[in-house]
Amino acid sequence: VKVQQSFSIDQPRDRVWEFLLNIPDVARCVPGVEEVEVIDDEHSRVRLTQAVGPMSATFDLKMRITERVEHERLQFTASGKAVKGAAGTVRTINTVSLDDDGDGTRVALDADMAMGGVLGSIGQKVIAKQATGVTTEFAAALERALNGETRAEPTPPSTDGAEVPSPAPGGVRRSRHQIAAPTGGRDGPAASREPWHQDPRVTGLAGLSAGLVVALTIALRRR
Amino acid sequence: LPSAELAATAPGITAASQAPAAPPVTRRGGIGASVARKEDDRLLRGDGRFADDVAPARALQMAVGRCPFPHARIARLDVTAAASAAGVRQVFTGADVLARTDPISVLRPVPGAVPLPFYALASAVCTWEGQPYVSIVAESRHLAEDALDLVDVEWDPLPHVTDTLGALEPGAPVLHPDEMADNLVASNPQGDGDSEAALARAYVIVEDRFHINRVTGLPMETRAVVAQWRPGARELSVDASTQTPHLMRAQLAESLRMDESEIQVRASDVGGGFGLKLGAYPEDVLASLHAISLRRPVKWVEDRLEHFRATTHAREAVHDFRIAADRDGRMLAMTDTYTTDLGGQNSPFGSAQLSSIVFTGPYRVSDGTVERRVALTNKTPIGAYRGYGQPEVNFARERLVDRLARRLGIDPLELRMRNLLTPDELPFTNPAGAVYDSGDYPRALAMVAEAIDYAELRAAGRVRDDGRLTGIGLTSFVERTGYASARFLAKRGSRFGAHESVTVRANRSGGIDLYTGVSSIGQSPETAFAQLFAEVHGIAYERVRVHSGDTASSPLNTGAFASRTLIAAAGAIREAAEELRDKTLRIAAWRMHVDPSELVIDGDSVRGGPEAIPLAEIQTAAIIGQGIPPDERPGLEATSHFEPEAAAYAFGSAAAVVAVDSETGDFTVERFVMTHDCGVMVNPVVVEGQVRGALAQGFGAALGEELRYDAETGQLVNGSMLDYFVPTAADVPPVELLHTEVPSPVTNFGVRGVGEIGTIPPGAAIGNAVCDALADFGVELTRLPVTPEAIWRALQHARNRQEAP
Repeated sequence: VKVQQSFSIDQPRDRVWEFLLNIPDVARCVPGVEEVEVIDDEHSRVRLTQAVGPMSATFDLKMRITERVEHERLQFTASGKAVKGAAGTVRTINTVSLDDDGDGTRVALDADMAMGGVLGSIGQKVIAKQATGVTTEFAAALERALNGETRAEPTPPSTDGAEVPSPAPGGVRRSRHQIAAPTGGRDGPAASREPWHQDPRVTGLAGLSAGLVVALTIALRRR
Repeated sequence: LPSAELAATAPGITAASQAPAAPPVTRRGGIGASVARKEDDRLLRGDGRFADDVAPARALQMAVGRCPFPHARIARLDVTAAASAAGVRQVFTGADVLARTDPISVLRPVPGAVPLPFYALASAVCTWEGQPYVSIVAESRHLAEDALDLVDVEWDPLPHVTDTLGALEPGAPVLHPDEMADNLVASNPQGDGDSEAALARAYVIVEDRFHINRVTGLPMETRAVVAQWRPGARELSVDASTQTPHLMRAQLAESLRMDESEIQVRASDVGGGFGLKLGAYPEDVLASLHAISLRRPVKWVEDRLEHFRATTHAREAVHDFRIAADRDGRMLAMTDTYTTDLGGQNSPFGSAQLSSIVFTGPYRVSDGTVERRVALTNKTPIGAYRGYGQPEVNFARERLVDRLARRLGIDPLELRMRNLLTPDELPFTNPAGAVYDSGDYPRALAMVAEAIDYAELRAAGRVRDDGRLTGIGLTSFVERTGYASARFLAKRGSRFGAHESVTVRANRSGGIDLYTGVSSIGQSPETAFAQLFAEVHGIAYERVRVHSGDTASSPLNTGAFASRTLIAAAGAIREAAEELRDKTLRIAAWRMHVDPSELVIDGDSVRGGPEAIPLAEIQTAAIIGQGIPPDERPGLEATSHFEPEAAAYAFGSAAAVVAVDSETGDFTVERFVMTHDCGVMVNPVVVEGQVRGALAQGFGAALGEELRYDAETGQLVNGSMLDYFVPTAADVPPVELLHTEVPSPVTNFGVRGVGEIGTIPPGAAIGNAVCDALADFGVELTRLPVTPEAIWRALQHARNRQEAP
């Protein structure tokens, strides 16, 4: 799944950039992150849990920063597998780009996510829905964090992401979503006016996070 | 009853719309009686015995780890943590399997193919997402699955290819570089006549490329195996959900390096096979291997998520079909070059080859060439599935027949009538060498046209009051049932015969035990075999007990597939029943002091005029050898093997009436009428059930089912019941079935096989109906499934084309 999203934030670009370099802080904005271990400048490990209703699943991810262009672009990969469920693997390549937007900063997320094994073949629609909720939470959390609101607790696991109520209003002025044509469609890239494929829009990190939800099905099956 | 006499008395035609055809009156529930199925009582009471119902004491459970990538090398594999996890008894990897087994054999190889060794676990490279690479046996399934999480594996993903034709392009990643230089497994051209000359003189040629969807059969019971080993007795007993117990026994013996006599395979009840359960799968070998090594029973039951990647898929193919005709619509030649997708390995039944055999369908075409190409791709292996190539080629050919009609301005019904072979032209040898035995193809089509009021519908025009458009789609087809002979199969390298066999044994209660290696997969062999036996022997249907699917008690046979069981078994049952009947009558005649010709077996006794002796008395005498003629040997038992001389060709026609919304592509199949002929029907209700069941699967493949792989990641994206749209009862269009009964001259009792034919017409009939409704837009569908989305896209495409200058 290729996903793009951008939103604007009432903070100057250098401040946003600084924040982005702090992996633990950024990771804590992703709903469901339980542990962050920074190994060195480039490598870190993240454990996160996703839940839908009574089901939950936990994933271990290895993250690596692959490109840093100061104040402009940060690229990182994340790959890992289910700690419980043996459901398969997740891989993503993510790019975060910053741009001036008046006094604030436009943050663009660009992600390419692939799920392997059973994980990649269940409930893609459910994942997309979950991702919508997780995305909203992530953006709001990022905004809050950038505004200096400290958080003692890590974000709780996202629940029933599809209908997550809008979190505390921060300075997110607008949130615009775009999604690339789903890959593998029979008839090539979809035209935007098509009535088909009106999937909820998905963001990179959130998509990754939400992707893990599929393992829940398996987790439930097994307990 | 001799078959000639039976043929003469067989009803020429029985038509019924909703109710099954009225059965001819017979004695004792013999041929033609719609007796209650012998299988029903136990299945309806929950008393079936499926593989998972076999629960030996101290059984362990197996779980299998599968590759999450379409194509990857195992870079590192460490199972020490998994092996020491709670409850785990054993872990096998590819290295263990290499050391202990030989590859699993291919039962029906593609002619000309290089053998691709296939082991139960991959030891270096996996060629599809879902290929097993580790097996874990533990005290429970959940402990085994938990241990799978502890397997430390690192993969090196390799370049993959999932597109059927893309796999044959230069530069495509080669799946089996040790054995092959590219992904083309084989290319099998065949044909007859001079199609080039016919094409050259044709007034019109219609041609296109047709894409057939990858689907799966989805039996309600997934695969399952329970293996038990008695080391002292050197006895491996395997309960499996399989269509072919004897073939599986042979494969297990080969793969496990054992003697066949050490292995017993049982398939008691099988919850649907459809071709997916032909031959041994990796898990069958693995469960046996673990059971032998651990000296404890090992069970594996496939879960539904595994099923979507671990059990063979079907159908995916691309057909380049061509029909040449003269000005009057007479078909001059047909050519078809098609590529079937084999997936990542050659499964036991591999590529569906019947597309070649019936590519010209029921038409008078003598000049034709067909070429099958078989391609490897990084997807779950393809295997047999109900229809085995015939629905695929039927869609391509019949879509073009309608296009030909439009091109020439001839009504599609009329065009078909002009080209269908007539009864006096049969037997007919088609360009692929298939010999159509007998039938009345035009009558089948005429019955369908009449049933849907074809003329009236045409006269009423397309446009309805609500703005939707009416379309009518026709299709005519033949279906090969059974195999010609073992000689035919030998030419193709098949590792099984064409025969069926039965052992019949009288018992002292006055009943008959009939033993067959055919497993009961829902096709009602117990019912049909008992009816055939009763017909010939004279005993009551109720007194025949059929024991099926156990290699220890049944004579070596072939198995339940290819609509071949009845054709072959009918001969074996007839011979065995005659032998038993004659001996029974000789003994009875000696005891009654009359000539055997004066006696008949009737229900539960032997009767001669007013006198009758209970069958139990005669059979007991024979079994204990007391009170039988001095020149008779004791015992009342017979085994017979029968190989049919030729395949029989079932046939039919179907019509679909649809209403299409030309704005959205939404459509409704309002009527679906099918005429069907499987020769003499042994049990009309069973026939009806088989045809309707196959139709439901045909509608699924035609209207919604499609296993999709993401081209970029090579990932199966809809491998669950949540994402794969199999029709429910509410989704199946209303079906009206008509039957004709033209006896086959090449089989015992005039029967033809039945079971697969319903999968053939839905795609073609519905596709033609939709294109008929949208003829003014110039819409031509070339892909399955036919969905509102596909129609909407085709409409957009057609509109764009019209708008273009």
